[in-house]
Amino acid sequence: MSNFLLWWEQLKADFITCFITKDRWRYIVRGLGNTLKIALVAVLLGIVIGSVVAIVRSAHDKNIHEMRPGPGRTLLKIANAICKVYLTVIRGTPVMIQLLIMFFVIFTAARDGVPVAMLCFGINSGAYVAEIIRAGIMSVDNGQSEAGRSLGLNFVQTMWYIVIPQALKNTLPALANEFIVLLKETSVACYVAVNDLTRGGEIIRGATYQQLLPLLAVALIYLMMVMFFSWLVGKLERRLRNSDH
Amino acid sequence: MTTNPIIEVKDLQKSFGELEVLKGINTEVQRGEVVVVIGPSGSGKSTFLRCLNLMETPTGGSIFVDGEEITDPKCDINLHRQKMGMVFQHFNLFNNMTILRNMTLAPMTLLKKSRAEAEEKALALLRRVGLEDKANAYPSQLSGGQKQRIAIVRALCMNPEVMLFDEPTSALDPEMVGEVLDVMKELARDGMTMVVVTHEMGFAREVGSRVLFMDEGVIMEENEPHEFFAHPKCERLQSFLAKVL
Amino acid sequence: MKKLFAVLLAAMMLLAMVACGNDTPDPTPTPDPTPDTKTLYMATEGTFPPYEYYDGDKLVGIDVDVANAIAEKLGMKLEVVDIAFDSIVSGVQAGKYDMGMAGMTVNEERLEKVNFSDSYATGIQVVIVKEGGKVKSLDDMAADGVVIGTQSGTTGFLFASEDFGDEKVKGFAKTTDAVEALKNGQVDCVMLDNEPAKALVAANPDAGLSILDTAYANEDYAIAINKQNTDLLNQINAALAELKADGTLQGIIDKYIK
Repeated sequence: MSNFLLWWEQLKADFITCFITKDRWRYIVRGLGNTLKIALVAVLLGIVIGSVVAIVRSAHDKNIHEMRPGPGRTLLKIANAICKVYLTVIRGTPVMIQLLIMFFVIFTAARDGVPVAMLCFGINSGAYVAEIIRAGIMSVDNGQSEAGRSLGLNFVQTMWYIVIPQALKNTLPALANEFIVLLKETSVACYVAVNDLTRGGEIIRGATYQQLLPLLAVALIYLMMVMFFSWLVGKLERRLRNSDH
Repeated sequence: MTTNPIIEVKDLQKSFGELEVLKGINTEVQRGEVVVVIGPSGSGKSTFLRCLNLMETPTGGSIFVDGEEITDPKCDINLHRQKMGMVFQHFNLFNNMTILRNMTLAPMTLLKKSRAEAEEKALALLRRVGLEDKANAYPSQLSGGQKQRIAIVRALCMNPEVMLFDEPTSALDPEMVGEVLDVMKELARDGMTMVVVTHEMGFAREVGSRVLFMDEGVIMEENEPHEFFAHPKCERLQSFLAKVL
Repeated sequence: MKKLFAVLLAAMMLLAMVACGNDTPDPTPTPDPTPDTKTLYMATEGTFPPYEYYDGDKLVGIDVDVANAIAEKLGMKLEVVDIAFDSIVSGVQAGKYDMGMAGMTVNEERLEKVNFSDSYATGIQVVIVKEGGKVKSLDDMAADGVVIGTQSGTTGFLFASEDFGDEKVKGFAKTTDAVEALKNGQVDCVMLDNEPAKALVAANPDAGLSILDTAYANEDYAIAINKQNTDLLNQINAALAELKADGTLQGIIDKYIK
């Protein structure tokens, strides 16, 4: 029992050193803010980029054989080639290398790593989202887009109003998973001196040489974010199920 | 009959790779006519219908709608499709939208109608087919017959000049065929120009102003319904009718 | 905020109880991490010339040479492990390594976790600036909008955070990254130890980098040793005294710093 009390007192002291002394909890809060900012902008950017790439890729694969030769066909072929290069390069290299290249080679004028990280993770995520949505588009029955086109809607309108919403619904679990991966992957941002959540914990570790509490705190916050997000997606999925076949 | 056909088809050809499906079709559809196309499966009748609004791109010949050549690459096919409604074998209602939204999407997007205006028209049409209580339902909540009636009125929301029907009753349970045919008959009585690919000989006989028999990619025989069924001339039609009647 | 921490604390308690032991002060001292082996494990971080850096695929530098000399005195074989600077003190504390040498300065927080030997070298914290940049003297560092680059976890990082506030300090994974950011104009100055600073300025002759004439601080480098392992502490201090007396130590330093 006295052992337990001793341990309890020690833990309390450690907790105070880690989070209360010199207001060190601020590192965690500031880091959490940056992590959320980066992940949120990146996921939105990723969905936009991913949707565009997915539309180009599936438009190419579905229609290119039917299209009459002309500027439209050439344009689609070029766009498709660009998308393929993008997918290959982004999915073929580690995100950390992409981030270092972005910060130290491309955006050498950027003083703040946060926008660079947003852009980098957005572009990175876009490649994965593109393939997820492309699979989703391919899974939507051809009759859906035929019906849209037969009413006079053009390709983009048909995609936007009819195909993409259904593709997104079909791929919601995969997209949610991608967001979870992205959220945790943003911890790489500390390589360009961004004070994200992981870095917040690292700063406390570096200043106090405490291991357990800072690491546990950071891990718990990531976990809570992922659990909250999963709950949100679950709710969304149930709502969308209304319109299931 | 007037000499101002709404659809003119000249030497229409369509091949899928090596497979020649349409081998030169020549015909006209006059305003107010109900043209019924019958024939064995694989005869090319569905492909012929789908060429009329370029759901399939012809590989030869030309099609004129309202005197304008829609097979000309410079022609804006989306504009023409607005006045050519199409009803599919598998209904193809937009699964991600309510019935009302299914019907107002194209008028609001393409004809720039206000929501109120579009909904008023949609509800009036729903009332006509006895489905106004389904306005806020999703397609998955409807029976096949209900879906097909909705698909018809969805096309009507665009005020088309011609309606194309691609085997509209083939995917229905037998007890639901009647309700869909009734809607089509009423439409014909109102003077709508219709091209109908179907296996419903009764409908052809009762409503058709002209019946086409297609086999092996050509129109083998065409006539007004009474003569067509009473005195088939070519041998193929005779044996076909012997099997289906 | 309080509520969040209450929740956090409660969750941690539970987890900590399961993983209990790590933080419990153990009444019986743990046995020497390396009782019989003849190997002396040293942890360092290999991007800190001239104290430690790679020559080909081999770690060399003042720290490595001094450690070798000590190992020789103790009749042991030296094994150098290159890890993140942040992890050296905790690695030594956990008994993963016998000692840590990485141009490390003694400070309060570190002393809570590990013992330090007598000093074997003197380090000077200096500031590298870029020609035409915002910082022209130490006084400019406090100005609005000035961003100070450092390697995170280093004394430079701690000094800068303490003296100028966290918001002005950027911690990079490596000193070289901080200097790269200075070259790009992404930070306005870099605070680091004098010797690596000289090496890095020399390595970038065309970048317009220079070291401010006034040093930021002076400090003593010492060897971090596990608290339980007082024997090793005494042995190392004895060895250091001998090396100082016979001039070996000065010889090593002179070899690297001209």
